[in-house]
Amino acid sequence: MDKRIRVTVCCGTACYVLGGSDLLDLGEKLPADLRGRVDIDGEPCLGLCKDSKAGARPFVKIDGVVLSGATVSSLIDAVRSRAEVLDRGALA
Amino acid sequence: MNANNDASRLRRELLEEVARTFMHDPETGSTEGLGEIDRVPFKLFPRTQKSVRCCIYRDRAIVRYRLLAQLGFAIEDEVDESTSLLAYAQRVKERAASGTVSGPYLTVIDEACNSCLRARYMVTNLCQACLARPCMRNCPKQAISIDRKASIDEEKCVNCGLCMQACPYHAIVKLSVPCEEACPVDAIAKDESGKEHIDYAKCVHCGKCMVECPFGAIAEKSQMADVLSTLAAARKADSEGKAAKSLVAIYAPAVAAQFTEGLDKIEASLRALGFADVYEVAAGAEITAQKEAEELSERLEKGSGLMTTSCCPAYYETVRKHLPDLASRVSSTRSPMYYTAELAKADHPDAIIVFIGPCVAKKKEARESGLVAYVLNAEELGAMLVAAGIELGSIQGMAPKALAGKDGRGFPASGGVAAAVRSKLTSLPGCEYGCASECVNGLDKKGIARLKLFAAGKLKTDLLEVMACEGGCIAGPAVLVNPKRAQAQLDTIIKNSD
Repeated sequence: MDKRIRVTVCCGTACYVLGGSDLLDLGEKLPADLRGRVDIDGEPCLGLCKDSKAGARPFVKIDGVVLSGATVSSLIDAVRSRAEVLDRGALA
Repeated sequence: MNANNDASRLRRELLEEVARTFMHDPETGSTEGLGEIDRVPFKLFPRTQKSVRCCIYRDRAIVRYRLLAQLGFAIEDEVDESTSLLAYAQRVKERAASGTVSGPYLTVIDEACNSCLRARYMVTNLCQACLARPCMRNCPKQAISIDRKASIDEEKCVNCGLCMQACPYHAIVKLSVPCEEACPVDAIAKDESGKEHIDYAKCVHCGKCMVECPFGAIAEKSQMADVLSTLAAARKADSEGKAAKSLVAIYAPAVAAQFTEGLDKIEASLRALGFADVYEVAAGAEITAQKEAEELSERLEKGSGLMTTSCCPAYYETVRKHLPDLASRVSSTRSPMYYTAELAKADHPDAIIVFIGPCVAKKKEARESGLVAYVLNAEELGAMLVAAGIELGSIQGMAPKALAGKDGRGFPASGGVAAAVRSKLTSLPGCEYGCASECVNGLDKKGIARLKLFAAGKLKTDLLEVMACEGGCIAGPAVLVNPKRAQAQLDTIIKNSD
């Protein structure tokens, strides 16, 4: 079975105001092949906005790896890359 | 366009910078902190960054104009290009001290305007100059001739688009000017140089041009800096033990629907920003619905026919400027903002009332009301919260005053006002009868055409709800989230009402 991917969207006020709200609705936008294997959660401020080296808001984590300046399309790309890594691992 | 795109993100980042600048203004009255505003164009577009436009210097120049609008100045009023943003920020403080804001409420950032090609149909070089020539044969005005390639005689063309539909090669395209296409009242047009200008005699402040411009070239003249200056002055006076006017926030249910956290946390966060008291505009909406139901029942008894709602200021302005035949049909009941401001004034007679909504046109209504001093939008509220470091998720909530219920909180979605009026109507004494109602959901060109049919009596109903924004206020021009999410969040708020 496909390994599941966990997407954690920062729901801190700064991320939310700068477009994070759209990321919470990722489920509706995922392509069919990725739908059903992604768990999407919103979490209170992840604290990344206070770290000047973390990059731009909004922040989201894909299996714990931070994506900064996230948009729906960059998030879908990141989820797809993660899925490919997991699938290669499953084959090996 | 979606509420979240790169243009709206830039606008919100800039609002956050403006908010931060005015919050960090030392309470001693020193303007040292305000000078930071001149660094913002460099901070957002440092030399090492890839430019969005032709070069980083142009990007910075445009950011400067965006900031000018966010400080509440019309770009059209600029007299000296070399004036620093600090000088403008200082003028904000003077303006706030005298409490004056004025229209118009939208401004065109000509430097950002793309001068889009004039709207028309154009034949591309995909044209095969075919034998069948469906474009020519379908053109009702004989505007197309073919000489190796089709061409459209612009003198004859009436922009019906039949040629584009007929071409099997998809060789004919429609060139659009998004702001002009969005404007329901033809109030925005090009000058000789191709830049857009707003005709304020026609403009109804619906904000659709601002939302649809892909270059973010149309901006609201913000009142946020005035509010922040006034809040800082009140705080300073308070710390020195002097008397000062306090500020009271009244927030629209459409703004509550922008956030996931619910009313308690929104009220607490407004207090944390420095507002002395907070009211839900849904409270005033209950009064509007009640009064509108009473007015409707009188009209029904007299058999005087159609009554339209009156709470959408862009609709009301459209009637005033473009549909005078409907004027007698608009309910004389005031808006939820007005009645909420009255409630707030009754408790705090000297307070400065600040309305927070999703709307541009409310700025005009506020000014004319004589009750509401300032209007903030949802993006500005968001920017203020971020700049102040207020975390909605972790703030201790404060329960709202028990003044509003399901009817009032349901106002900002299409159909919500009509539903509330009908609900109040059935509970009027001796008024068991219901009424017929219809909605004009969005004032686009089709919506205006439908209104004209109602005005002419060709369409009939008892109660006509009109909202300028398709979907209602939750899909207003200055919101934070897409309408679907706002609707879901509003539904939760309504469900949690008694």
